Amino acid sequence: MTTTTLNPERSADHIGELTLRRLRAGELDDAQASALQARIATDARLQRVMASLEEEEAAFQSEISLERFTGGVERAARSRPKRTGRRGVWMAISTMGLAAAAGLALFVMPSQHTANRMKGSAEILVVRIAPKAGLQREASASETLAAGDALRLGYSCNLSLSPEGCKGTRYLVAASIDDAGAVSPIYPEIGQGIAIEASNELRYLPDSFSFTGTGRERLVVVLADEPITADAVRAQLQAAFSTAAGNLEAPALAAFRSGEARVQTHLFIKTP
Amino acid sequence: MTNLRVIAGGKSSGNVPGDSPVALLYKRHGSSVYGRCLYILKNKAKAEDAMQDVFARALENYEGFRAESSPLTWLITIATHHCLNVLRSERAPWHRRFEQEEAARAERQETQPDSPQAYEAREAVRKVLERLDAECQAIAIHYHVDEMTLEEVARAVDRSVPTVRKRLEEISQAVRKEV
Repeated sequence: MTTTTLNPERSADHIGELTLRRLRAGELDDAQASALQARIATDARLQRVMASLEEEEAAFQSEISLERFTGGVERAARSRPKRTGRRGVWMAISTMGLAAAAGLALFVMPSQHTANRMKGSAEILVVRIAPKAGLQREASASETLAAGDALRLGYSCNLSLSPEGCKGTRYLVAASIDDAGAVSPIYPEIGQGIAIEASNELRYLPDSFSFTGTGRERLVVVLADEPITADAVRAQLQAAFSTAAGNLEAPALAAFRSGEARVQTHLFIKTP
Repeated sequence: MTNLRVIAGGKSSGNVPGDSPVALLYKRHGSSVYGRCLYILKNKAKAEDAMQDVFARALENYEGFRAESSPLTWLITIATHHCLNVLRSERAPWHRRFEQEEAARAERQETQPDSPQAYEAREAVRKVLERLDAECQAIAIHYHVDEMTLEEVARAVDRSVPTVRKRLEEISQAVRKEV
C-alpha cells in the first residue's frame, strides 16, 4: 500500500463515517440532516457507507438482543468502581453548607488538614481517603488502599497568602495510570478540565471514587490556569510511562509534568 | 417558590413511548460502540464486554451524557480509550496475537463499506494499532475509521494540522514495516 493510499487528502467538506453515524443517531439538527440527505442522494460512496451501517446495525441486533445487552450493562454497572454522590458517607461528616463555584458544587468540609501545599503556590490539593473500616485520613505521597476504600479530591487557595495568585479560574484534570500503563480518567471522563474557583475554604469535588483490582496505581491531579483537556493529560501520562519504562516510581511519573500546570501525584498500592 | 411542572407532549423523537435509557442506548448507539470495540479488540466476546462497560459508564453519568452535543462521539471516544487500555493491559505475547489475527480474519465483515483502498487502509491500521503510541492510536482511528478530515482530527486531539500529518506519516511507516 502506498503512502498516498493510506493518507488520502480530504477536502474540507468531506463527509466521514462518524458524521453519517451521527445522522442515523438523530444528532444533527433539521437543516444539517436535510443537507446531508441531499448529498447522500447523489453520492454513491455515501450510499454504500449508509447501507453498510444499516447492515451493521441489523447484524448487531440479531447477534445481541436488547435483553442480553441490558443484562450485560447491568452486570457491568454493578462491578464498576463506586462513585458515591452527595448522599454518601461525606454528608455524615460535613458540617458546612454547599458552595457553588463555576457551576460545580464543591462541598466544604472540616478544614483541619495537613495537606501538601502545591509546590511554589498558595494552593492546597487534598486527597482524602475514606476507608471501608477505620478513620478518614489525608493521603501522603504513597499509600496502601484496601478494596472499597474511597477517595475524594479537595482544593483551596490561600487568598491572604497570594491574592493575585489565587485569582481566576483553574482547570482540573485528574487521572490515574496503573502498572500496565492503562490510563483511567477520573475528572473529567472526556473533554475540558473541570473549572474551579479559588477559595480559602477547602472544598471537595462532589463524587468520591475508588480503584478496583490489585497492584499499583498512580493518581495524577493537574491544575492549570488555562483550559486543558482530559485527552491531553492522558497522552502526556502515556508518554511519561514510556519514558519511565513502566516504572510508576520513576521520575517521569513521580515528578510528572504537564506544561506549566501544577501537578500533584500519589502512588497507591491496592490490596485485595 | 413555584415548583416546575413538566408538561408531556411536544415533538415526537421517534422513540417508542416509554423506551428506557438502556433501550435508547441500544437502539441508537449499540452497533456503533460494539463496532468500535470489535475493530480494536478483534474478539467478539471482549468487544461485547468492553461495550457493556462503556454503556455502564454512560448510564452512571446519564444526565451529563445526554447534555453532550454529540453523545455518540462521547461514547465512541470512551470506547476507543477503554479498548486501547484493554489492549495495553493484556499485552498479548506474539503467538496469542497471531491467534487473534486469525480469529479476526474469520470474523471480519464481508462487506466493504467504502472503496477497496479505504477498507485496506483500515485493516492495515488495525494490525499495527497496538504498536503505536497513544496519540498515534487516536489519530489513526479518527482518520482511518471515523474518516475525519485533518482539521477535524487536529481539533479532536488538540494538535496542529502539521503535527497530525506528521503522525499519519509515522503510522504509514509502521504499516509499511508490517507489510
